[in-house]
Amino acid sequence: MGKVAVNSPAHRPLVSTAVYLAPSVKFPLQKRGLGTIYTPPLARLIEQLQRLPSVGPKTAQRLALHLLKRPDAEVENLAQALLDAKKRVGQCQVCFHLSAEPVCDICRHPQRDNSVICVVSDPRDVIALEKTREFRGKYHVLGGVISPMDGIGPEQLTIQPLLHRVSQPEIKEVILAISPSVEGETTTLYLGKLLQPFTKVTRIAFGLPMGGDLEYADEVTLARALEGRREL
Amino acid sequence: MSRTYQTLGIVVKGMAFGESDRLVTIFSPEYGLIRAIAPGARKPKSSLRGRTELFVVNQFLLFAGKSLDRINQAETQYSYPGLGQNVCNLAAGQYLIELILALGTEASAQTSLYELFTEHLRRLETEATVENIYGHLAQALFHCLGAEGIAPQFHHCAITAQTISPNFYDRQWRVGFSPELGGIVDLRSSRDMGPIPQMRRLTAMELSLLQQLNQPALPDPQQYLPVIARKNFRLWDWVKAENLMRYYAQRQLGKSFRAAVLLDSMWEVDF
Repeated sequence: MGKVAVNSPAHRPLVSTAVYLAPSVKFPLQKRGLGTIYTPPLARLIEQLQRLPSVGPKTAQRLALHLLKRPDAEVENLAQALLDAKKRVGQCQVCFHLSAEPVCDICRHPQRDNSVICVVSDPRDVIALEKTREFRGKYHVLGGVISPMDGIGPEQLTIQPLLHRVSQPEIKEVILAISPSVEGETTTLYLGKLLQPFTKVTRIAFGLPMGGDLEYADEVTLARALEGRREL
Repeated sequence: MSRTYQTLGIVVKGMAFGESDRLVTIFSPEYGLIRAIAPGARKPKSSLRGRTELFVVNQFLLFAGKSLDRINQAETQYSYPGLGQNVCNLAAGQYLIELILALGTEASAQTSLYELFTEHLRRLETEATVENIYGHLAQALFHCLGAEGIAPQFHHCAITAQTISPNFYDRQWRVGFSPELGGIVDLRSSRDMGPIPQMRRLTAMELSLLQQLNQPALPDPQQYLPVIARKNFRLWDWVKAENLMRYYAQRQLGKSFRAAVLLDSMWEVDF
């Protein structure tokens, strides 16, 4: 790393005596009336990091201090990657999975089975299912589940495009892979009713997780596992 | 003093909270609505995972916090599995939950409301069919509003307090219903009062069904209707009765029941 000029911002100490505290950044020192410990740009960075999910004040501080220690090029790459992802990543026009292209890699792949569609509620579910390497068909991302109590009705999900896809003659099966919560069940039953006239509709099994102990399983999960039992 | 307490309760609302917790609202007969954190409930092997789903009745062991309570233990008593058999029942159950979230209060016993709510969920689970689901819902609305003292009056005129009975012999016979006055209105007496805002007109059949809502169980219209009216009874009449109760409840509580819209759309498909 090159020599740092005496008056450049990088030369200044990380801990400043300047009195500044962003409104949303709260630390114990503030209560003691000892001023603040963060210089304004650092406080701003911590404040922005704290807005990320699952990032609290301590994690935000650790990340911010880590970033300050990294070379300029690395930090610039991170900033550029954030901007690029935000600008370029949208939804696939076919399946509504995240994609930088109009049609995503999965929908374009020539060796995928076009006759089976797996319906999921969220792009994260596609990633989880892809990690299993078991499913070779295509996906459809609904963008949520029907939750009347939260004001999410069928019209807010990508159900119309799904109906359009399923009405094509090459579709042989639709697999509903939606979480077994009450909202997920509502969505599964709703879609089942809607799609059954077009094709075969199945749903993923639910019950005990691998490695789970029967003894410690909750009654609701056990009851569902019994209900969904299958013949050997 | 111990800050740990036990109560029976049904989960009526839940949402993700933090990395792996769930924030749930429990409706308890002893404490009304309780907002509590279920720590780690979203982890795959958590024993609270299934127990903090909607409609699950548990015996809870809770720790009273400053703003939110924390679930230490839960033991499931019942989970209304029959509601999950079809989308109409699920939507109807969520409709009742919306009603309870509007009627429930925090830190006060609501034993009658709890008993009525769980009983009507049981009826939706075991007795409701596509033919009578709206009748069950109309009665659930009437009973729950009655438990909180705001049920509408369907037997006496809200202005004159005179008893009104449906007249099946006159096809043109109508009675008024005013949510503002809290019940039915004899149209002759309302003429003297001038125009009553948002008044609806009910037929003899509609009034007859609404007058039966105060019964403990949902009556079969073919049993109690006069012979002259039995052949005119249609399933659609239950829908109209429920719509009137919904309209009244929404006005009284200042909120709309969004699950009812889903139910309406699905019921039409089923029917």
